[in-house]
Amino acid sequence: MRVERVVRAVLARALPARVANDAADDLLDDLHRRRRSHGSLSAAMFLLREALSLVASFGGHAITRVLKSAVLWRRDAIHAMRSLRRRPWSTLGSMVMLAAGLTAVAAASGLAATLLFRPISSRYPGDVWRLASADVAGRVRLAFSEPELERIRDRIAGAATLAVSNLQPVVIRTGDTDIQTLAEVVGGRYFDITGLDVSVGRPLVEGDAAAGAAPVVVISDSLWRDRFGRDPGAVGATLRLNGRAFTIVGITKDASTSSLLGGSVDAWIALSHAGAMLDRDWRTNVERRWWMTIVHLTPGAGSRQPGAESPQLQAALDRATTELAAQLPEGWRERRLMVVPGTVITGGQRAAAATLSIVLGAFAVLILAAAAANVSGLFLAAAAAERARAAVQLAIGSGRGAIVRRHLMEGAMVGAAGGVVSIALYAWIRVQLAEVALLPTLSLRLDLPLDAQFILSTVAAGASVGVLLALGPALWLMRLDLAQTLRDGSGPSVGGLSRPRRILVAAQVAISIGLLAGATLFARSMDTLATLDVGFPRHGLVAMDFDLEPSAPTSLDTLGTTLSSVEGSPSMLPALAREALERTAAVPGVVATAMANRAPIDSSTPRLAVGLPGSKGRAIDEVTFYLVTERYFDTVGLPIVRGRAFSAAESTREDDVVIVNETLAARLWPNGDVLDRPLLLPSEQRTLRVIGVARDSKYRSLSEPALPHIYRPTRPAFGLALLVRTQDDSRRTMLAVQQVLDRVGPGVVGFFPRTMDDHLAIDMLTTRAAARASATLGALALMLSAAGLYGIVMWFVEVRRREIGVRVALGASAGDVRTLIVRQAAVAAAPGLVIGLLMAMTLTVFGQSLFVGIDVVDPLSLLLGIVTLGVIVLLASYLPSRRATEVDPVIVLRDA
Amino acid sequence: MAAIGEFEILILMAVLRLDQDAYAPAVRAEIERRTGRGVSRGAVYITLDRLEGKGLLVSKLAGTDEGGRQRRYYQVPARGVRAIKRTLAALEHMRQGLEPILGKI
Repeated sequence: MRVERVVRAVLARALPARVANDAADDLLDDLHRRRRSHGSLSAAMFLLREALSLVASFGGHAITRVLKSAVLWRRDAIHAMRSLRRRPWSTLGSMVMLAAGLTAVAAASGLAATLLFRPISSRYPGDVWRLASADVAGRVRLAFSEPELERIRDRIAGAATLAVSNLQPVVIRTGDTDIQTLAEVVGGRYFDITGLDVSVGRPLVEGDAAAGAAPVVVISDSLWRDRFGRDPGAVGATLRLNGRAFTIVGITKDASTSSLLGGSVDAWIALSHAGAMLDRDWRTNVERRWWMTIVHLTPGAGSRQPGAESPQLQAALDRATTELAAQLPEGWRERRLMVVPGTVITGGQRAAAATLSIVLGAFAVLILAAAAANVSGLFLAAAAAERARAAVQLAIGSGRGAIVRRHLMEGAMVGAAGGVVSIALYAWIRVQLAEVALLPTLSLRLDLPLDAQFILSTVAAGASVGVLLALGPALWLMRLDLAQTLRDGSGPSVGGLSRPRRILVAAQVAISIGLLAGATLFARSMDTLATLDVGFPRHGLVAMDFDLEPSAPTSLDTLGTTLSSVEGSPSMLPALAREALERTAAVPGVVATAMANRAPIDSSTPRLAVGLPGSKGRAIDEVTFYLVTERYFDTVGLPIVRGRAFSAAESTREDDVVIVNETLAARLWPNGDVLDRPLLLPSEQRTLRVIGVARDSKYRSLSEPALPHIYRPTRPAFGLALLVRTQDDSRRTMLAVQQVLDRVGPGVVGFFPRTMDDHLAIDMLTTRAAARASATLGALALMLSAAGLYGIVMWFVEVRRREIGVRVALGASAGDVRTLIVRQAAVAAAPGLVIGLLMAMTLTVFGQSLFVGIDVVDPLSLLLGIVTLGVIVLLASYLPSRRATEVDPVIVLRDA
Repeated sequence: MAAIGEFEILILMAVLRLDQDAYAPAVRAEIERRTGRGVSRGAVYITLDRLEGKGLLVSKLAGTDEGGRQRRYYQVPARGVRAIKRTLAALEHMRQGLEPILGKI
């Protein structure tokens, strides 16, 4: 009787238990009666009608049932809250650890979303792609030149439209301050397709990109804030980009996207005025691939799923490929056009970002896993402490299910609270990453996602992790032997839980000691780098890249007329450079000025091979060299230890003379007889005469060992670094020098003005980042391992209360009990100390290049390891030992 | 004392009327016969259960139906009778003076 079974099952759920069976009997009787009298069809109709009427009454009943169970939930929640409040430290610790783990995962996934998947267009996220070309070897190129784009545009018209952009460093002048920043030259559809929005004024439109359009610029919210104090009157004002006047027509919204992830683009100008930033031949030169593209598929063109490639576009691209191969055979014979996903980060950068995301994700999962393991340890210790209470509850009729439910509720509450805290932490990280000033001259902007769904899913994830973690201890309590627990207070056996937990804690201790030791090593390296003797005084030295603005060549003719002393055009450039150097030297406070192919200590310092004449094959490869002007050594403050510096004449004529450093002198002429010796440059087939020996310095990086190095004379020229030694404030001097350069001639500028400290910050960036990262991770690991150890020790105290009671009864003092507990903690953590110190030593040995001035066995990091262990052990055993000393032997022994 | 609704009082009075024969299908049939309106099976069972929960009805398993199964018979205890009286009295008080509008029922 299938019908009967179904009816009974349905009614059992729909009606109160007491009457469900009666109702089923009643209904089935009526059904049989009807079938007999009216036939099966009528009986079926009757059943249907009854079913509908039951659904109606069931609805009301179900609502009351939910309300009743809500009361139950509320009661569970109140119980759980009380129980959590009884152990505030353990609760807080669990919450913080889960929060740390969840934050790590949230931040890693947020960063991955930003890095990998953020679409270039906020307006048409599923419909934008990037144009790319691949050669036969599959190498992808994302940049195009204008002559190429002209042909492609014609071919794909109808299937898609193209937006183009090019990012360039630019000098923006407002009032009399110059700032060096980034600007984009964009095509007419760029603002429309990317969805880049303005808060004031208007965006750039197609008309702005047409030939003969007025020079207009849209500026960023941050430039508006910093330079115009958010004055709405800024729209209509004039801004000079690389010396050319542009009228501000709009201001982008805060946190607007740009085609460069993390880049702080401050200005957008239209294609028609690309000359302000690009070469003059950008329109005609096929080799000048300035443009990154965004392809927006025309809505409704071709049959295609949203987010999928368009067959129609691919056909158009194939036609364009054929045409390009015919018209520009050199570059296009074995190359074809394609589209790649329209994400902000693209190409090789995207592969690097994917690797980074995977590494960060793995770290985050590891942190969450360690946190979760520790939290489950804390939950277990709490369950052990609550076992007597649970036994009493069982004894007075509470179901085992209720006890499990309450524990799961506790887990959910702790987890959800952890989720909420992690959202707060995540929001803080998001603000931190919104603008990271890597260097005084370079900042990164990363906007991590944060929306309601993200928040809800994080909190929900927290709650579910909490429930999962509470499951183990809850099930442990399920196995509680009521009689035994009530009799002697013991709980179910621990089983095999203890050993893996110990190993886990030891591993965490090891990692935290290793990381903290690493952090000390990096911090000490930083300190060493900051105070390292580089051979010259760091303070009071200013550097900038002396050059002409990209647009300046057009104004070379006018330059010629402004300088009465020179004639002709390109040939007068050296004179212009000399004049710039002389005028800079006259700036108040300036002691000396010079130029060189690199500012001191630059990772891009070039190298060449040198040797002695007549000793074939005995050349020293990789000797770094600087080309320097006359007063270089005075300006930098680097002493000449033997011989003399370059004379004005030697510098102007670029004579075949050379100054070597002490290291090279000692290598080539160990007997010390250096002056007037010949030095061979095999690459140039040229022999130089040594006229002096300069003190050793650093050339490519602060952390390098003593390297051989030579200095050769050069005349002042554009493209060199301008160095200024000043007695005045460095920043003030920087500004004064920029103003002087501006007066030397239109387009003459000092790019990237920086003090020596700014400059060296670039070199120290990795060390600083590594120090901060390892310190942060180390602190996190310290916290996690202390909590993990706490879980173990607390568990120990709970399951061995009787033993402690017996010890106290036999005369053990509170101090003895405390020692017992601390010893337990120390024994559990000790293997971690050994492994952690070994890790630190391995790091020092294999990471010699990372650290500066550190011995293999660093006594400080050893000491730090021991101190860290002490801190962990004390943190972990403080509360348990207090609880252990509260054990009353009378009660424990009596109850046994 | 919990308030009782219109359908509850119908059920209680049907049980009173049926005296020794008050089992669920009979209660339902009695209401349908007297009031001339259809009554849902589910509503009858849920209300019987609720009234028993409130202590206005008591039940016992007794006798057998055609299928040889035990039937649950309901009775109204003194408490239930008081509740019916109170509700009817309240209705009567409310009705007084409304004759011009309601007419003679």
